[in-house]
Amino acid sequence: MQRDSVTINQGIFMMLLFHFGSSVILGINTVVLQDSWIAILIATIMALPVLLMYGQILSRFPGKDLFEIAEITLGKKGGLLVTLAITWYALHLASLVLRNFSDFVQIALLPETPQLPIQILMILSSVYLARSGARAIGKWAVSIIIYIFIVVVFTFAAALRLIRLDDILPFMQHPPLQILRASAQIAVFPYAESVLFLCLGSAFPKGNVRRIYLTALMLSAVIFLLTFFRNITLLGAKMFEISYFPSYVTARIIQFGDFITRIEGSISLNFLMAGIVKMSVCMTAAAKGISRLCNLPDYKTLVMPAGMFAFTICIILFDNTMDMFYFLDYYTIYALPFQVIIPLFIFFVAEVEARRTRKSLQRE
Amino acid sequence: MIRRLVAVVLLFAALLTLGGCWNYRGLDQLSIVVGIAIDYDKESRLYHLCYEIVDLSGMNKEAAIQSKTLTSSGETLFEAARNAKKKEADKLFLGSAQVLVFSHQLVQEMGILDVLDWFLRDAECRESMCVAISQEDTAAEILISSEKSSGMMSTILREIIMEDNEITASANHVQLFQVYNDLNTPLHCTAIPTLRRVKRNGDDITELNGSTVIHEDRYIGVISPEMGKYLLMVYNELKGGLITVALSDKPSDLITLEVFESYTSTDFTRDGDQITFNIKTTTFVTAMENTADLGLMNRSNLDYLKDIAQRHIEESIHSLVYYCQQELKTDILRFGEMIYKRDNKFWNEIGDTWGEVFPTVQVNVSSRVEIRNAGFIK
Repeated sequence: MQRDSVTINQGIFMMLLFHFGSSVILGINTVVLQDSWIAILIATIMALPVLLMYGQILSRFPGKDLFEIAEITLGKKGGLLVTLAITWYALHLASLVLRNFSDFVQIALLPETPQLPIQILMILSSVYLARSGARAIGKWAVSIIIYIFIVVVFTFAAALRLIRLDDILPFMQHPPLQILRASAQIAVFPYAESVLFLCLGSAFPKGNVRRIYLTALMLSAVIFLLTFFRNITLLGAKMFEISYFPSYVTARIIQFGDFITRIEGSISLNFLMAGIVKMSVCMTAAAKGISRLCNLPDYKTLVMPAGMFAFTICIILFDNTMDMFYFLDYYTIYALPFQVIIPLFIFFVAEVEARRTRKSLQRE
Repeated sequence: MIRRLVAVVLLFAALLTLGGCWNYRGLDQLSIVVGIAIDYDKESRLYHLCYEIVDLSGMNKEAAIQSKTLTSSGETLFEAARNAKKKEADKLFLGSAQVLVFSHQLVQEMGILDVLDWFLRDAECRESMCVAISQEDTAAEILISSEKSSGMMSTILREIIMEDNEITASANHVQLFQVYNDLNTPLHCTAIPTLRRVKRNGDDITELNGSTVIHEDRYIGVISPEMGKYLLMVYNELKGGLITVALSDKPSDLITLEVFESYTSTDFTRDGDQITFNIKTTTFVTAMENTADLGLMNRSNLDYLKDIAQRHIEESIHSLVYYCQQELKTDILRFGEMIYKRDNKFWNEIGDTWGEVFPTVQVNVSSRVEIRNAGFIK
């Protein structure tokens, strides 16, 4: 049987689409308005050591995933706790993404359609992709990345005629602390969410994990900046601030003469296709976690139950869309243990252990 | 085999979403709205909405698509919109509305921000709708087609408004989201194209007649079509239009220049409390009508014409600035926005009193006109 591994490019694009997933739909971050580009840059710098740490963890234990690494470094009980926490996070994140999308579809596209059928279709597609393995997700990512690049570049070019460049001014109008807060939010959502790729560790090509993390981060930053500049200069600060889905509103306004209009469908498709990648990765991570917890050999049979679980959480997650956006303020704190504290702990233990082994080897 | 079967089932499931929304409606079940006019009756506290709807009955290949109007009322805009269903078999579809016309009474008495809020909140309405203000008693009058014209009035109006800065240059066109933005910048003001009905050959037609200035969501005044041209120039949005100049020694002899390109750069300087704005314009024109019979093959005559045109532009911009500073007392020229964006620290000092500072700012205008040619003959 062929090993379920991805190539470097597949890995990069998977991660890029994972970052792209639901964050672009929600406008990356609109709190500091025209200063958001500074926040994106700072967030990229903030996320850099975190993502390099993820890469280092996987490089230290080639061919192993986070759950195995946690057991090796923290022991059976510690590993179990980590598995429990990360599995919950993966399931919760999958349900959050699913809710983002179903809310988006209901508000922007199909207002009279109940969310349930949208969620079911979305979850089934993601489950199917996750069951097909990491390699299939990687292939899917490569095949749709071209479309996504074309849409981003095309909408950016089409917007050029309509933009008002001075809308990115005044520079640094918001207090540095507020910009830093926004940066932290971007670093957490979406950059550091790629902690879940640690669960797919065994699928990554050995020795190239850090490169995958780094390239995906840089490419994401470029796309986020492009998207942000397009949105703010076309919409203006106030519209950018009040829109739930600024990219979608931007696409509604963009038109090429009188013959190419209403291109927002392309943006919706972007969201959906990238969202499926994000959910599939979450589902794979959750299924692997559950298989580890239940001591079952094959995670693929558990993808469907994991999907159903995420689907159930998604239904009871929020009362309304306003709550969903309200939760974003608290997400930074909520996600910190899963994204930073747990991996950092594993990283330190692994590094200390590695140094100790090296020293003892030198002594011998 | 099972995987393939699942894939096929999923593919077909995905196809379901392509069919449209849950309660899908065909074209025959829709009343497609192309234009909306909003009036407000203060006494009855009712919004009166007038829709121009595409008339799909009796369509044929030869004739242009016709339209009909429908009115409805309600305490709120949404109610008024829904009440239209009482009179129409099909539910109104607002996704193709191209023009939104407000009555000037609504602007004067109620303001338009609350109305904009509903249109932006509703997913069906488009943010790119073209906004205009009616100078007539009601906004609904604007949407009524003249007897002799054919086609949809809203489409015609949109084309008149959107293409104005390229052809006649009399008013700055604005879209729904831009009006909302403008009214929420630190200046809180905007200029919206104004429409009126005029009699031409015994027929009532709608005409673009400059812009209406709104500040703090209240009506302030109007900018005439002639001034509108120079407002567009200050905004750096002039893309065409005509500039007619009179020769200084023979005022009755006119020369009309057609604008092909125009660029404006504005900056400001501070000297103590005195703020000075420097407007520099460069305009590329062709001399297309020469009733003065000025020999344009003569270099000195050409320089003379350039000089007159430059002075004309400078004087016109000065008049506009004076009008905004002294009559309207509203910074529709977006000077304050420039300070806000480029020197935010300074803006924090003067922003609150900008209404008093604006009339005192000095404005220097320097204009350069380049005559490309004089048309097809010498």
